[in-house]
Amino acid sequence: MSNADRTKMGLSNIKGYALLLVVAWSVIVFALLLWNAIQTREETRKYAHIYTNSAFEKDILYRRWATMHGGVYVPVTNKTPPNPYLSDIPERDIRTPSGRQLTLMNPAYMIRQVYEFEREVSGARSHLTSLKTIKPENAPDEWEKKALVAFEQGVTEISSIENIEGREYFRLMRPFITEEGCLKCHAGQGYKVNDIRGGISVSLPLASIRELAGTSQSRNISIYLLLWLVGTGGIVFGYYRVSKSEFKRNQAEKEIESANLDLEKKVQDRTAQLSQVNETLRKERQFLAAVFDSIEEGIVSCDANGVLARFNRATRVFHGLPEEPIPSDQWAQHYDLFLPDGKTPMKKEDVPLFRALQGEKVRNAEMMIIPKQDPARTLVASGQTLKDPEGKIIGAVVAMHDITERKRAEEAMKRNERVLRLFVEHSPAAIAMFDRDMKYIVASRRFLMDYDLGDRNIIGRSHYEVFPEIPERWREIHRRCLAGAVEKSEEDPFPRADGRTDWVRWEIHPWYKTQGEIGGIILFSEVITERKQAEEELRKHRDHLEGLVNERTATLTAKTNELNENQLALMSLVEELNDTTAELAVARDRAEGADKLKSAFLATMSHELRTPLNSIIGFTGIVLQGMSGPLNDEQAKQLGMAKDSANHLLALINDVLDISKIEAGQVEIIRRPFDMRSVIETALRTVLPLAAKKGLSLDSAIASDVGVIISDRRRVEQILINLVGNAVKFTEQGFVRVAARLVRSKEFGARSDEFGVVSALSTQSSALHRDLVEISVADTGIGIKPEDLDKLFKPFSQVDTGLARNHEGTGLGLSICGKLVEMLGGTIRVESEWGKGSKFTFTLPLS
Amino acid sequence: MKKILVIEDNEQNLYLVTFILEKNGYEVIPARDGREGIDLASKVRPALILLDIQLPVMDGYAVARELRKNPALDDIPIVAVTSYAMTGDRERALEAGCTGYIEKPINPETFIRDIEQYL
Repeated sequence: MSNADRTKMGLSNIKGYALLLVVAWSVIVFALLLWNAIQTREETRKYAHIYTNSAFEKDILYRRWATMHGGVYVPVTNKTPPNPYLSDIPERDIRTPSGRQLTLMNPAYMIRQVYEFEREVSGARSHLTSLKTIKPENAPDEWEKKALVAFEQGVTEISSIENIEGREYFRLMRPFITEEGCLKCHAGQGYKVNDIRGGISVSLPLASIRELAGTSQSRNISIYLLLWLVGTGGIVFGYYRVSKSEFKRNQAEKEIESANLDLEKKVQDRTAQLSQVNETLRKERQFLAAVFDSIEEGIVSCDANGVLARFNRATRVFHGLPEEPIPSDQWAQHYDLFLPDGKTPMKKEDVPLFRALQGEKVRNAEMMIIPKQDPARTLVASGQTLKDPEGKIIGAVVAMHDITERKRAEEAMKRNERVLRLFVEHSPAAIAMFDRDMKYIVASRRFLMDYDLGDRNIIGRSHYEVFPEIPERWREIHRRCLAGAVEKSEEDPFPRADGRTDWVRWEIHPWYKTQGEIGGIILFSEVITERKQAEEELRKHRDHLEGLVNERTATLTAKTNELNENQLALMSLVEELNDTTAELAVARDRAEGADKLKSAFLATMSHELRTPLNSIIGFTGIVLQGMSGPLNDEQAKQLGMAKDSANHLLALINDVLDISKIEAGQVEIIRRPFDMRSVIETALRTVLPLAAKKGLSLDSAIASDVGVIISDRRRVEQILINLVGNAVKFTEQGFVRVAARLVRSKEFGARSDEFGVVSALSTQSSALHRDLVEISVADTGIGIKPEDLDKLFKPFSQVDTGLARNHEGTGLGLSICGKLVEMLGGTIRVESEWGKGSKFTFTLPLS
Repeated sequence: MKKILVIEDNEQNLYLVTFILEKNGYEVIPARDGREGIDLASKVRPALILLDIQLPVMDGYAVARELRKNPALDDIPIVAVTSYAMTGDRERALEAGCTGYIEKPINPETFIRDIEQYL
């Protein structure tokens, strides 16, 4: 708490006390005033009581006196007329001998008159009343009535301060007892002596009494107010005196305090300055240490006495830290320092730091650290002595650089080079490695052989010296590769010194040293002269084939031109076309091995054959429709045969095209869900007319769980129509039956047996089981010989050519089926017994 | 009589198509090459153009593109009649501006039905 606060509190305390005093004083003055008021009121009341009581006693005395005399006679005046209530009294009115008229005034009458005087004189009112008054104007008011009732209960006096007509009155009432004399007038009312006949109330205005007592409430208040003012004034005056001296004392205290504060602040400032200097120093030191530690080189220093002084982090990584100073002659042993051979421990004189301390400027001294636990390191160290400004030696410092990795890489490189040389030397390919001057570093035996170098030692000799005939073009290629290019050629003529030309396929790469610099080039080459010749022959053969096809096409066109003139000529043309089919099959065999060529050839063939077929099919159609005129039955039959053959040829072309598309990977498989049942029904519907014509039974057995699968509907339909079509085609009696059911893939079952635990786990997951739909087409037809089963799915292999002539078909259907099934992810197989029937079965994955 | 422009260089094929069309009550305007076809198309405004794809001078794709450039001929259907049956041949024809595609050899029984769907 500050001094100002303390002062404030001292002063406010005094103010508090002063306020408390004023309040206390006010309370005392007010209490006195209140007490005075109560006292005054009580006194007034006592005084009023005495006054009224004595007025009452006096009334009773006067009345008793009057009663005792039986009343008094008074002259009749206007104010005092004869009492009409005494008319029954004899001698109410008498006349004095002198003739004065007198009338009897009874006690009550007299008293009442006295009361009237009293009211006029003092303002006090007396009232004689009763519950049974003779005169109505004497009847009691409310207060009197209550008092009268109370008297009948035995109360002898009632007094209180009451408000009458806005003024304060002290009222007193006492009972009025019946006496002997009273009965003279009031016997008629039934009163007896000592009966309470009524009461007399005396009412005195308090104002007059107060006046008499000399007291006034307002004067009292004025006096007390004055008293209060004087007291309060004293308190206020005292307060100001005290607070003034308090303020001065506080002022003095404050001055002392601020002087103290000044002193404290100075001390604090100095302390802060000091700690700031310390902080800067600490940071500087930290910064230096951080710099020191962040250097990858190990840095170690010692003082002039050879006591190790400082190490950075890298040094600690190299070989830990000493717990206590180590004498210089133990450094080598303590830090596991070895000469570069990694075997000889260093002597004291070998240690770089020691040498530096001796004044030597150590530059790139190689050494090894071989700790018992950690892997060995190779370091190069450089160091020198440290001198103070006066030139006095104060220590030495050595920086060590870890070259372990570089060493290792260099060794690995040497090893690699050895391996590479060995590899090149023994490689079955022709490889030669040259340095930058195109001198042979190594060459494979194959290279020596290919280039007829025999056992000549060419290593170290220039390539251009060995092959002086090398043209300038090659020298340029070598130069480019030495500059970093990679060059190659698929076939390149190489004119030899003896006049021959070899064909070479080659590739040249630069090779790099560890530092990333080009060390020379590597030449891979292959003499392909023989292959080149073989290809040339093949090309000639292909050209011949194309020529053949063109020739045939030309023939077809020529033949077609004759069609309109002679239908028989058409027949023979169709025959020739059939021959062409056979020749095409031969051509296919020749074309084997040149797949790309075949695809392009087939596409062209398809197009070229369609053009003449357009005429053949078009015109036979027109003629058969009778558009060119009516035909006889024989003509229609023969022309129908020509048309069937032409359609057969078209089917053949389409199938060939299909096969070529499949083989060229041009067939797009579109997988969508479809109902397998409806596909089977479509296939059966397609062959139904032919089956009915031959009288074959055509039925299907589809298991109830066969339904929707995800595959290519068009292709599945194609497969099925082909198989069912074949079955009907090759069956003369009996039935053709299509069956379908779901099977679980056997291959996957076998796999889980092989893989033991792993597959035991995997068999838990049903996803690994591939469910398949299996569709089979069985017939009771001619069947297939066991030796023919293998070729069945190869193109152009309708078995037993003799029979094939009897059955329509291109010989490509099963081949297409086989390839399509494979593309859809399924398998196809056939079981057959010659002469009894066949059963083709294929499977498809459900999705 | 509805006019059909047939652009076809092969005499036999032209004869075949002309024969079938005329038998079915169409008037055939023959054109031997693409250039002639384009000229005749704007001159006679045929109801349909049958277009061979393998044509001398300019092929059918080029003819279709050229025809489609002329806004006056915009609404005439062009049907390619071609012996190109390899994958993508149909798409190439449609891309060049053809409305339909009929593969050769044509089927004389269905040919009229096939072209009439474009008329």
